Amino acid sequence: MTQTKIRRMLIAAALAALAIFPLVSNDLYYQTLLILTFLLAIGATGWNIMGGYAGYISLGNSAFIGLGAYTTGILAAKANVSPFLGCLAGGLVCAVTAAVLSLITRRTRGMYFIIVTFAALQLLGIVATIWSGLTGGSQGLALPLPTWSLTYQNWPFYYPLLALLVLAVAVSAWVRRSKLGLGLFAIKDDEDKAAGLGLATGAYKLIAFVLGGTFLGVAGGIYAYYVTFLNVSAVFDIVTSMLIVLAALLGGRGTLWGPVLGAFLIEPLANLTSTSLGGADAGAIRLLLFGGLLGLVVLFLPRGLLPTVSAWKNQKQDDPERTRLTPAGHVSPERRKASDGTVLTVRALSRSFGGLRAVDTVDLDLPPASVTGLLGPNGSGKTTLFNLIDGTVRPSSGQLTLAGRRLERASRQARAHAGLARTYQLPRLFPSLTVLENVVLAERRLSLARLFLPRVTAAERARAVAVLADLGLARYADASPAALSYGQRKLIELAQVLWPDPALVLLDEPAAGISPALSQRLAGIIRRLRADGVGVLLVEHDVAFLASLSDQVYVMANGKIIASGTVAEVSADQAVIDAYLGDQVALAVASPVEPAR
Amino acid sequence: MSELLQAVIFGVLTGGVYALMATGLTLTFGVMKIVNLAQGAFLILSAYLCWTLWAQLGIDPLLGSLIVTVPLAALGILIYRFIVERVQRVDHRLTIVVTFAVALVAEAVIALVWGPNPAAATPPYFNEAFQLGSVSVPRAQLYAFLLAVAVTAVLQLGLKRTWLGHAITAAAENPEGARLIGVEPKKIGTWIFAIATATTAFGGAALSFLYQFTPDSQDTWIGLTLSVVILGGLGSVTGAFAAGVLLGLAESVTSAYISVRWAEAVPALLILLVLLIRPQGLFTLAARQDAAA
Amino acid sequence: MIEIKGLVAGYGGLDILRGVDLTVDRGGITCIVGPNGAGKSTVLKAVSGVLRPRAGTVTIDGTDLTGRDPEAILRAGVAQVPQRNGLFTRLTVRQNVLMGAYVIRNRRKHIETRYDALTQTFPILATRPGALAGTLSGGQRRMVEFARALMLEPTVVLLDEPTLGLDPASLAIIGDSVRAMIAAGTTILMVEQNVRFGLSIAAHATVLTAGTVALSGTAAEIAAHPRLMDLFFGDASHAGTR
Repeated sequence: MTQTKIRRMLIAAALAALAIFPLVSNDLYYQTLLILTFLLAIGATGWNIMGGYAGYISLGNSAFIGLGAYTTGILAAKANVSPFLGCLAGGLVCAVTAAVLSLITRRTRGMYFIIVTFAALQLLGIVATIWSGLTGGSQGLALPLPTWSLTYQNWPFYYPLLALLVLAVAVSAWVRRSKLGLGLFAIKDDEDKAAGLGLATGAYKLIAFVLGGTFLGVAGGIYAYYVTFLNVSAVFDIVTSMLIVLAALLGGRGTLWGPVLGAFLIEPLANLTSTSLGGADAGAIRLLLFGGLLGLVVLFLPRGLLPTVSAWKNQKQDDPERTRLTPAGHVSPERRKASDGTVLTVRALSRSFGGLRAVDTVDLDLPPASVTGLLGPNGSGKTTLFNLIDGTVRPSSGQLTLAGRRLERASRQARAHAGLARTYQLPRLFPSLTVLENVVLAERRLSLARLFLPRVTAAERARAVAVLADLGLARYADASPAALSYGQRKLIELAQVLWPDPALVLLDEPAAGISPALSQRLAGIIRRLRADGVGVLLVEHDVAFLASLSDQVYVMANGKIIASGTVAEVSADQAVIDAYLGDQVALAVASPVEPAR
Repeated sequence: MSELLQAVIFGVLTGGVYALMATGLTLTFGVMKIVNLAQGAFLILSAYLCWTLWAQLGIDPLLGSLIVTVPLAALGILIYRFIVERVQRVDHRLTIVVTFAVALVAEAVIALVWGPNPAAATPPYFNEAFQLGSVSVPRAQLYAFLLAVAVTAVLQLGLKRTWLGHAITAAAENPEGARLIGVEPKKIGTWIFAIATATTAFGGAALSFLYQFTPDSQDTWIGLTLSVVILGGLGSVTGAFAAGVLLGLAESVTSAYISVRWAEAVPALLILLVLLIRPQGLFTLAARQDAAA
Repeated sequence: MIEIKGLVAGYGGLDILRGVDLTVDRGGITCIVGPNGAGKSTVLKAVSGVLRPRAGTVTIDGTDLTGRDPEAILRAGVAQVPQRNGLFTRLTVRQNVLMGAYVIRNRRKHIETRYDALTQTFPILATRPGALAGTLSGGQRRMVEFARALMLEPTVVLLDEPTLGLDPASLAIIGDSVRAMIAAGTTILMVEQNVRFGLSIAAHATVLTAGTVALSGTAAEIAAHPRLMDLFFGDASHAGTR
């Protein structure tokens, strides 16, 4: 039997066991334990979508539980709403809150996200206390008691929670397998690069956060009915947040079952300590235990149990031998609208850093179906110009027009959607994704429907495998990028940025550090791009490489363009010679310095 | 009118104390980009230590703070060396989570040692006030404010006038350049943590006679100190002082004109507002490095 | 004095230096020139300890310093003036220079004496000691960086593109400062983008292309080389180019 089959059977068996349990046993203690475990597992699984997949850690999860609990509680106590609707309402309120928080953190990154969730938790707790008319404040809110017969005991809580857990895991699994999950993992690895490939990172993060929050909210609603009495400080409690994070971290952040495993380990432990510890110190000891456990997990088991165990089991396979380059076929791209005029127009583009003019009123015209080189000595502004074009840096003044659209202030995604692509000197690939997934990641336009598609559709796979075969790298399709050599990574990054059929391609020192054979292959790819109508701009120091390839070159020095033309022309240009060799400065010294003896 | 003046004076005084309490956080955040969520717990620890010195030995908290800087500095060094530095190497995104764990453990230890009952030091001046016309200036708040000014001044002087201060300024701005002249990141980190936690002794001392506290008060104070740092921007000590005063004013005015309970929500609200509108903080000119371009 | 053998070094999977040999005699001055990406700055970083080489050795005055910490190398008498970001803009001129002596900061008197001696060579120390380094011009900043490097009286000074970003008028000052260092017996290994300037100052030169040494000789020989420009604008017949 295959591993997957064994796993599926184990999961099915566990699920069956859990489902049957209340029917065969009257043990209330274990039923209670399982109910709380389900709750924690739901929380951890939901948290994991944002914290594990996207890498954005939230410390305010109990805010959602509390919000869900109080929404349900208020609707139940004051408006007599049915439990089902009440819980749904709780989920909805949390979804909206998550969306709002996501918008607040649109312009900030990881560290501030954590702080925002923390602040939100505090705020909600205080607001709940203040609006005591609605929430019962510190006196608490009582829900209608259960009305079913005692023989059913906890079943009305047990089964809905179990179902919710199954749903949460199913959704988490679906996310992992979909383009949404692909994007989230890419965001975790390298958010800027993902944006540069056209991914609407803000939307992805919002969805992930809303999903997690909704599950917590509905679970909170069920929890409210279960405890029948809500108290602000008990519900908006930072320790609950911590337990959720601990469960996910312990089990394995970013895996599917890790949070569930973690919950099944942590909750019994929590329960055990609260029943066996008595006295005034009980709370403190529990805090010590779990805070300490959190610290230990972060310090010594940062990836969690599941990844550590699986890494220990699968010793790394030997790297497949570096393949010799096979003769290249040609995969012709699906589109190529003939474009007139220039692909890229730059007018008076400038950028200063403090007092330094890194780029000084640069004008540039890039026609379609051309290869243009960008040369210049160190510090001449080439990298900054690249960064201005691709959106890493905003200009101080000037204009940038790409495919007819003014884009100097546009986001990186907008530029990608307008047809811009860029590679890096040290290739940036996403280590959490396979080579094939890296290649198909880029998005040409915004589309919510796309998120529901599987990570790699059949059509995409076929096309990508063809591209990889073309590069002689088909055998790496499902390998991790870590298995590739430097030169191979450069080729894959190139395939990755060419995937959405860009109109303008910026190549940052593509030939640096690769073998002559690979260099030839690269030149071939660039020539094909030109034949297909793409405008290519490359920064390169290897002038021989450029000479054989480029239609024209621009030479930069001190932030300005000082010459343009063919390589032969500019290399004879005195201004260029001076820029490279040094100005003709009349120095008083004619002879070199004699070393002091 | 005098009601407004009263609120303003109270707000400024309280704000200075908030800045004092946030000083440790400002230092670690500004120089090392580490958010130390254990700051609140350290404040409470200092408060308890000062309170104990006062309750058992009759030492005024203001003086006691000087004594308390020693164990706290030691604590800061241990935490940096054995915990923070290690996490930074392994996965720096988890640093904030590990400081969170430290906060919880610290709270637990405090509760085990001192118990859960509220404590507050009551030195002679704690409920006396100076009268300036129709406005009364509480002595305790004033002393705490003066302490805040003194500590901030000493820190500024230290940063500007000592070798270590220069090394810290250099390393914060230009780590590679600093390495070239022999400033080791690990040593500087240890010093910064030591100084940062030592300064919480002063914040804790002020806390001990200004407010009632329990082990789980750390929750409130970490929220507050975070707010100061976020408002103040990238961690200059003087910027944080201004931010603290602003926060104190906001709280005080809200308390006087809206309600005391809404005043509690001010720090968290400000965090959310500032990060929404101006993520780089109110008192800096440079954009935050990690804000989306 | 400086002996580099078979140096291999790079960043993140990419080897920039692929076996570099280089020698500088005691009290001598050698300039490394070459096209971008050749690895000139990488050589200096490997010597100063900021970058750990993957293979090869760096020996200074008989002592093997390969792969040591920057602090240890500093104490061994090797100071580097980096290409950029060398200064601390939030400290004053005087503070920046004094920081050069950070590793011996206990020796107050000695430091004061040393600083005063340097004001002779670098007038800006006397004229604007309290100015924030961020307010200085490019040439002035270089002066401060040189002075700082000399605080420890190093036996070896590494200069990484000292003329980078400077206007032609400042070049004379740089030239004078370098000459002053030589006169004091310091050994200098410098990297220069401005080939003519570098060759006019140095006694010896090494041309680096694509991570290996393409040419080596006296500065006069290299400067007179008929196809010097080709090294930048490429010709497959040259050794070391792709």
